[in-house]
Amino acid sequence: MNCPDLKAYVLGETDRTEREEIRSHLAVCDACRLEAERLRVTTTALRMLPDEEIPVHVRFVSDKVFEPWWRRWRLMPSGAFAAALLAVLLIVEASRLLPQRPQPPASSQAVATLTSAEIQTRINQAVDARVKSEVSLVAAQMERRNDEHTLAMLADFRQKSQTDRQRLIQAVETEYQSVDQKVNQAVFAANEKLPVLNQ
Amino acid sequence: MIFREVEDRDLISRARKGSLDAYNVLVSRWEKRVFNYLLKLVGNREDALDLTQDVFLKAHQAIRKLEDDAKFSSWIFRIAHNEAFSLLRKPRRESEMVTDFAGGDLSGRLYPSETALAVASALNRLSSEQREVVTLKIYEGFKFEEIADVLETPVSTIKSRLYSALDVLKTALAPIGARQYTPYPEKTMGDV
Repeated sequence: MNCPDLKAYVLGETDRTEREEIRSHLAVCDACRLEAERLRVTTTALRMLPDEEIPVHVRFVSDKVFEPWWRRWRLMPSGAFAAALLAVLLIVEASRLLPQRPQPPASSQAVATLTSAEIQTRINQAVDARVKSEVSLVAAQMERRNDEHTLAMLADFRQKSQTDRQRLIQAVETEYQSVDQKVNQAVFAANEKLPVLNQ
Repeated sequence: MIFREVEDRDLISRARKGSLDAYNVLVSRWEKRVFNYLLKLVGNREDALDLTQDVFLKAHQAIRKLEDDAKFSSWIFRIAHNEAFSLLRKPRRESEMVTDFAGGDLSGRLYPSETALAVASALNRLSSEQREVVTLKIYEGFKFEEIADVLETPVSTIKSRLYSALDVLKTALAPIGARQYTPYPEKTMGDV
């Protein structure tokens, strides 16, 4: 008698016919039965090696995050750009509406010119700082929105999966009831015929 | 599992269109499997983690080239295989080599139980190629044809590697079987 491919059998690589043949063989061949048991113990032991959790999750973020802020500014969505632009305009307008300093006397014209330039520099710095702050804020909001979007997507997938599972369970139940009904009918029909057969 | 596949296809399709969110969800589903496959192959957690990141980065760059979404698992493990073997092929300093993950502190941290240690030790007796097919078959549940697809190797070679590996493992793990399972009949071969 040729002994079958027990490794394929234990590894689940045989079809139904092959499995039935092998089981029949194992019923009469002690050596193969012992070998199959050893292989099964080996694969069971191997599966006892637990999977490790990954120490750090792999995540990808938009390249924009790694770009300098002025490029992010350029790539910003139009809404965010408009908000930042509005902030800049408000700052400029506020600085224009501030009470004007009294004009210095004519003798101090050079000092007055210097002061004006200094003011301009300070305004520029303030505007720059405000723009940076606004851009950072908008970038943070975008990232938060991305996170929320990812979470919503995950929830959506879970929901979809749950619905699909429920649908499957329902289909199986319906099928089961149908089969059960048919079996009952068959049993009933068989019972009805029994007296005839007995006679 | 069927629904999971459908959803993976959906994610792949979205990722291909540039959705980073979809790709991140896909990564979250596969990273543990890929990491554990690489860990068993290279035997070092840090290397496995680095490689896992490389695998998903390369996959992201190449996802538009994936022809059949249904073959994503084979495809991602193929990338992981290439990454792992390009690392394994590199000559490494002796101090960097962690070939025996069944002994020393590393394995103690990786697989604490006695049986798990014995299994890790047994796996370490295998060649990289044998360990890889065992990992893909036993731990990842691939069919012979799928393993052949991942490794781009004939099925006959896969079977040969796997069968010889099983013989080694069977001998190495026999004491565990005798101690823990003792399912063997009382009779010996002499009684047959």
